[in-house]
Amino acid sequence: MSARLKPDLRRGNHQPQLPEAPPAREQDGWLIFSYMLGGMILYGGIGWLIGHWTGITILFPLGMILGIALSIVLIAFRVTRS
Amino acid sequence: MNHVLAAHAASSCHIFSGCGYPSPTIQDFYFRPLFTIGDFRFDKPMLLVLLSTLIVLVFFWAAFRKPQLVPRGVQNIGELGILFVRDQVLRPQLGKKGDSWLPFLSALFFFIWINNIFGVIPILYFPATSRFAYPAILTAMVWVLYMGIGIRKQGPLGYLKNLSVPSGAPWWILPLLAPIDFLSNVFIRPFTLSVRLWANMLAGHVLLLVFAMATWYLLTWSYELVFSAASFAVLIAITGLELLIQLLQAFIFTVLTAFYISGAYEPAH
Repeated sequence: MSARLKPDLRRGNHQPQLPEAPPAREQDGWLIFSYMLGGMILYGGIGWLIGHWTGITILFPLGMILGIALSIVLIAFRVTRS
Repeated sequence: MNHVLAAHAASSCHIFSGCGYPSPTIQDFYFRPLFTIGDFRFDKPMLLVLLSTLIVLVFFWAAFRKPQLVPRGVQNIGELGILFVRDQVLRPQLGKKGDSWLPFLSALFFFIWINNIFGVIPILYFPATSRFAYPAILTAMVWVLYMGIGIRKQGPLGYLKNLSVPSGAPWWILPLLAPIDFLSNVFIRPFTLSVRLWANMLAGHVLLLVFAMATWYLLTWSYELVFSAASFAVLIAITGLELLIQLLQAFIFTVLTAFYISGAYEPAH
């Protein structure tokens, strides 16, 4: 049993180093927060305005959800891939 | 805090004496002016800000007036502070080429930190940063700075592109994403930068007031003294927590400033 384990252990020592994940930065959390706030305010605001004029009040919450969804896409490009 | 406490001490409002708990209000953040010149009212927060400016100036002047190769005395502490800002704030964001920003960032960090610390210093007991005007004007300075650098280094159109076009995003989604990016980089950034510092300091000051006033309010010469003592113990614990938050908020403000400056220097990749 131990003889069979040994090569595995030895190989474990020589495993190729995985590329290190970039260290988490202090500002990332705040960046994400500010993007999500931006998406909500912008598309929620547009939805609220159109809803205000047309009388379709559901556009306000729909706009906010769309804003959050879009800001998550934006975060994927701006924060996690940079 | 002490003006509020003095008022309450004078009122001798205690539990079982027929008066309710005098909870802190927003009025505790407004002070009677120390003196007035025409319409200009000079109040305690202004005095504290001037005092903190003086402390930063005198401290760094004393530390680096005659710098020695082997630091002694106050130069030791000064170097410790400067190196903290350089290694924890500046270098991770701007790298070695950003070292010319060290004086600005150090001054910003220590100015905010000292103003925050005033919230737990006896007699002073007020963080000027809990009045919105002070974080707001600091943020306005930072905003003008990073917008100015961005426009100078990347050109108006280049910086506009940097602020609103996330790289790598497919073209068809850009019209939807660019407005969010622009809004959050240009308007929400300065907003959150100032509100974060202000709200933390305001909440901390209110929290300290609640327990300081409760300590006095519950002070009676009977077995209820236990409640007063418990309140005092929480006050001490909250003071410790506040010391941590005061450092953290000054740190976050400076880190984000350095990050915004670095974003203005070169496009995000």
